[in-house]
Amino acid sequence: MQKLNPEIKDRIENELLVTVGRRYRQETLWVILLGLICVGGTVAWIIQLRKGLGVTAMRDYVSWGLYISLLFFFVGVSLIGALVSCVLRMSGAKWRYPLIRIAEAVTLSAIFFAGFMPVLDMGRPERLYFLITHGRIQSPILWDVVAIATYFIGSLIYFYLPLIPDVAIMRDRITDAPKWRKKAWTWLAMGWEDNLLQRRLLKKAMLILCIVILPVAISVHTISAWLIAFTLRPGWNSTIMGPYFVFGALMAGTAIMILIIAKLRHGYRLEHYLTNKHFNNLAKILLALTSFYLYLNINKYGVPAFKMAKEEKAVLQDLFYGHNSFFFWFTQIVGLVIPIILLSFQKIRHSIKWVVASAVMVLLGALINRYLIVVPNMLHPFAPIQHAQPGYATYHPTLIEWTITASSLAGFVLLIILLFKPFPVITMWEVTEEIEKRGEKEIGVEDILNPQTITGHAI
Amino acid sequence: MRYNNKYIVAFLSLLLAITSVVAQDEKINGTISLQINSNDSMNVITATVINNATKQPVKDIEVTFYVQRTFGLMKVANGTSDTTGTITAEFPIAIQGSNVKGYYTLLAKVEENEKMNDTTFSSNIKSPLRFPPDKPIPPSIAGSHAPWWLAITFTLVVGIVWLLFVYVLYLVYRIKKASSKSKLLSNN
Repeated sequence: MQKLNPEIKDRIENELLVTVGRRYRQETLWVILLGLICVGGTVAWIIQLRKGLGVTAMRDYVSWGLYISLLFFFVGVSLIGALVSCVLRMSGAKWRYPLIRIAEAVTLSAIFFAGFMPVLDMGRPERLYFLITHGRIQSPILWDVVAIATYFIGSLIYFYLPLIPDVAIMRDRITDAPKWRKKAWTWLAMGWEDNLLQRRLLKKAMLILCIVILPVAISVHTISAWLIAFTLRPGWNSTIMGPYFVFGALMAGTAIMILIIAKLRHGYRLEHYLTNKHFNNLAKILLALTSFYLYLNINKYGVPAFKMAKEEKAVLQDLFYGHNSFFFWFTQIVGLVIPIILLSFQKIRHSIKWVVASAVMVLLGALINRYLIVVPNMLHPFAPIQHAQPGYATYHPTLIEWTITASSLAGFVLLIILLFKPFPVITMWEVTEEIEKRGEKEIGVEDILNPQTITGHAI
Repeated sequence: MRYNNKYIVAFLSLLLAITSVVAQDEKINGTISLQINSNDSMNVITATVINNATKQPVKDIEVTFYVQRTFGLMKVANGTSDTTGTITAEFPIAIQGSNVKGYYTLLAKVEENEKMNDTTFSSNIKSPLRFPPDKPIPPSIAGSHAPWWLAITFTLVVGIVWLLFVYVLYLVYRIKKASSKSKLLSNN
């Protein structure tokens, strides 16, 4: 291992510390816009709390509408933390280091809002308490609540662990910070002095959590799939749901990761840390996942379509050439086929713009797909619901639902922005340690070791 | 001319609305008296519909008979009153009681009738069937209590994960301790 030139190490830390508390380009505009959407959503939620779920379009047939569709989306996106922190760690991908904190922030924000969505759908938030006190261990709803809470706590700890040395660097280097900030950093740094014992303990803690969090993450997605797969309904009555959700989640998580690192790279001028190599590798993962997800879709829809059993017919007709056919074909063609074709070309994988465009398509498809998993199947039960009014057999979300849904998505992005305000976007100690061990090429950073180039960065 | 048409339509609509209100007002209020007899296999209901105002029987009133169940009404018979205001209908005797004493409630309803306002009358009937004893339901996936193997597996899996979280936090605590130890060592 070659020790880094102290001057270069110093400059890397300086450069990455610059992102702390700094507003990136157009951030204020984004924060105001997202904040306003969140305020709108809060007002809509208050109206829903006062007047009840009657203000939504959810009735006897569709009792899970946009809120639960979004729950599945958030649960899906949250798997990116486990992918980057655990799967890539176990596969020995060194280029993951600059991405770890970003992935954990996305996970934390997504799982927080995933926990919030069932509360919205319950109508009365105090019912969550009854779910805990009167919950049935046999019910996947209870498993889901427990799994989401466990994954949230696990992700919070995983977000914190690699922060300890970074917060210690901030404590020691940023001298002109307000007193309360210094106090907070001192408390969070846990007396970090970078001695051997502390490093050993930290690495052990991270390894244990990495091993634990992966099955927890997979369980969250599988249980979310079981919420619907355990219900006897056409379209849901399938054994493929568990893997379908897990791989859909990995795909959506990778797509959103590409978008967020593209935004942070441009906003914070992190071009030397979040490089083409990261986009290229994430594009390869996205290509593999979208291809496999298309294969799962062929199985999920193609097999019942070949048989066209009476019970499944109505749902499949609705999706293939009925009311929801536009959305269905959009998710298959724009959300899967086109990105697969695009990402198959090496030239496109090397272009950040094209990779981002493919990720946008995949993410849009994934978002709409969650709606298609929930709503059309609820509209076509095995037995028609008795005494349901004619209007109850359709679902057109109300303005209240759209506003709350939009504000949850805005809140998700806003929380990610806020998580990067007090902490550096990139794990400083791990990046410098790995540059020392393996050189900059392997972890995907560029031109860091050249003092002449580094002075031209965002310091 | 168009204006005139509009006025005519508006006038006719108003007339229709008034007529329907008046027609609604013309509906009578009635009472249903119930008499229940039984043979070996069937209960025989004799219901008489009486006009409250005139105390006279009312003919051509459709009455539907239901048995009250826990989550709704079970329709058992229906019929239309004759010139004496009487309806006779039958329904099976073997209907389970709703409470421990073995009684269930029979409802006679007039619903959406042209002549008479909606009305409901009820009568308690003793069921010949024995009320099932309150046996505890064995734990099962579909029951109210989880099977032991599920409860143990669930608790064990969740417990192990949370214990590992606690252990990781303990390691963080040791990181802090390691710092003070090194300070102490350097002081010595």
